[in-house]
Amino acid sequence: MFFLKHFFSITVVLLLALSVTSTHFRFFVLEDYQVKHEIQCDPYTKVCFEACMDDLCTETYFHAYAVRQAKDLKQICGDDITHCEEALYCNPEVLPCEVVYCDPILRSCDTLHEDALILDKT
Amino acid sequence: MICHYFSEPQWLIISPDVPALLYYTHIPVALLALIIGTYIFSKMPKRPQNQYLFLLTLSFFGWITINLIAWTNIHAPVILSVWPLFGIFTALISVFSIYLTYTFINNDDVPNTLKATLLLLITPIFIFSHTDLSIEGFNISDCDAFGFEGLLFVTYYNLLGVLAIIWTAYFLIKAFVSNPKSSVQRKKIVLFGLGIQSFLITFISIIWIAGNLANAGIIEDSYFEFYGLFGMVAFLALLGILITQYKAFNVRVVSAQTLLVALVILVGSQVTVAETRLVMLVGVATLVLIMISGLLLNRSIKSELKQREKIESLAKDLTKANERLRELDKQKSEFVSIASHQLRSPLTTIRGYASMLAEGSFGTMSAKATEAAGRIEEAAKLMAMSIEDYLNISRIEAGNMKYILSDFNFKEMVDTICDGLRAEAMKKGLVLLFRSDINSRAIVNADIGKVNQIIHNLINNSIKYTPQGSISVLVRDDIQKKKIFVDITDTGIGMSQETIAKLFHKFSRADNANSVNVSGTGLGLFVAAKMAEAMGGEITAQSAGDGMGSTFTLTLPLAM
Repeated sequence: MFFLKHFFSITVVLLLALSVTSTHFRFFVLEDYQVKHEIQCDPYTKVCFEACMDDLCTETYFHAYAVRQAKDLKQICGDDITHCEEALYCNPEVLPCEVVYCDPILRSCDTLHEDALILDKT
Repeated sequence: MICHYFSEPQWLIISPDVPALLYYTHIPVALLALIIGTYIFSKMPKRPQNQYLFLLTLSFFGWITINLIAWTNIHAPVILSVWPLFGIFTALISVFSIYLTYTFINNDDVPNTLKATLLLLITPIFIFSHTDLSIEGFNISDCDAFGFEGLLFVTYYNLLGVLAIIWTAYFLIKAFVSNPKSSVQRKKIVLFGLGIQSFLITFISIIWIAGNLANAGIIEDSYFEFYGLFGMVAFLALLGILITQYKAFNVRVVSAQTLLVALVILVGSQVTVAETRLVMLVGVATLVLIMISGLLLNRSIKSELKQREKIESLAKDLTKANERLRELDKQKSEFVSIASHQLRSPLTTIRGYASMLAEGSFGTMSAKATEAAGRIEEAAKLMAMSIEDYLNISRIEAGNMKYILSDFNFKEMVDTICDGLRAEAMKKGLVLLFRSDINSRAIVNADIGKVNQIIHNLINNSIKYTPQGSISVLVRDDIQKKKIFVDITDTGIGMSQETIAKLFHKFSRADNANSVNVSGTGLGLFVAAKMAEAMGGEITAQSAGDGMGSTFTLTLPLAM
């Protein structure tokens, strides 16, 4: 009788608990997710993203993105990749990864600010 | 993994890397929603609409909390763990909006079939929330998960939001049409409908659009989703009107209390976005002052509210008592009517036989016996007149008095009545004079019998209450005002102004009436005045005071 009267609330609470637990288990324990981060990119050979070094954009730099498994990257670099050499490049022999360059079909790459298109000059 | 470009937040949500507007749009709105939802729920926790409003505001508060965490936190697992909750809370907000609308309109809990249907619809959101269908990865550079969200998952939960907009609109339109025009319920439906729709439309559409643009990489982050939260402010404002004006959700709150809470939250949230220490100090000082004066104001409001509730309760009791009195009065009139009818028939027989005895129809009687029979007849006559008054009153009060209107000459009628009563006046040694000052044909359209009864009653009263002197009857008219008057002026016992004020009330007699040993029920003038009113006229009385005589004036409209 109690369940029939409160079946909605009971089911939602159970589903919510299940969802939170399984999500927590996946991301905290298994660390089963991909990470995308900036890697170095040569604007003379690839279509790179251009980003600003500061808020006023007085200086820019070029980069691409690498996508890898979080667990793999953490094993090599730890939680923070700021000073991790391996995280600056995509070398599939060291760590499986996929490189994402700026795609003019998907996004505008013709701005001088972030995400700018640098033509492949090779 | 952490987002190495951003700083670690303080107290979980305070970060220098996020727009200051984030706190101003999120914290006050979330707190205001939760406070109002909790307050309404605490007032009547068993009422379904109060429960669903609380669950809706709680889900909204949950959504804002995870949004703040997602904006300010730099730990990938933390952000990824809360990210699927956007779908869950959006689905819950959609479902509770539908439930709330249903219960608000029908004042009853949601049927189990509707509950089960919506439960089935939201179950996939919970089941797939931890899978790649919901989220695949994390962008360390931007510190968010845009670009890794599952398109199907996001579309599904946002479509639930669209479904909520359509479903609630359907309930509202149906209820609006089925309620009578300009009814209170219709006004409540309009206010509630505007509120819930503005909330759902802005929340679902703006956040969906912002998320999609960010996922597609068209915008860097979902910054303009902040504006999607202002729909809740509109909803809460309209809820405030519903509560203060229409006592919706069975909550009694005065506008000042609502305003005070809103003010504290708004000033408090301004403190969180203060850029300098001085501005923050000024903000904190203002907040403290508002809170102190607010507490004092709240105390006085509470006592005022208590008094108002007491007055309302007394007014309700008074209305009930009044209704009961009216019912008793009606029963009394019915009783008087029935009793009077029962008394009238035997009384007519008594009068008839007493009259026949006095006239010698059953043989000659002694002088003493003849006098006794005459007294029986006289007493029976007075009693019959009293009964007629009682009957007239019950007819007037029941609205059953019949008036047969016809044209007749008013002056001639008054003249005839004076002729008829002159002998009686002379018996008491009084002079009864009749005069007229007429410029019209003196025709009135009224019930001839009732007018006769009124004038008869007024002249008779003058005879009764005048121990010596004269009674003067004057008929006059005013063509411009289209009125005709009869003034009956006597040199009798007169009246004070206090007596005149209550003279035409039921059972009311002049204080000095007993000084002339005249019996009376105090109903004659009341009946006469009511009859005159029913025929478009009136009776007025004037006197210079006790012992100074009186003038009674009957006014009737002229038939031109």
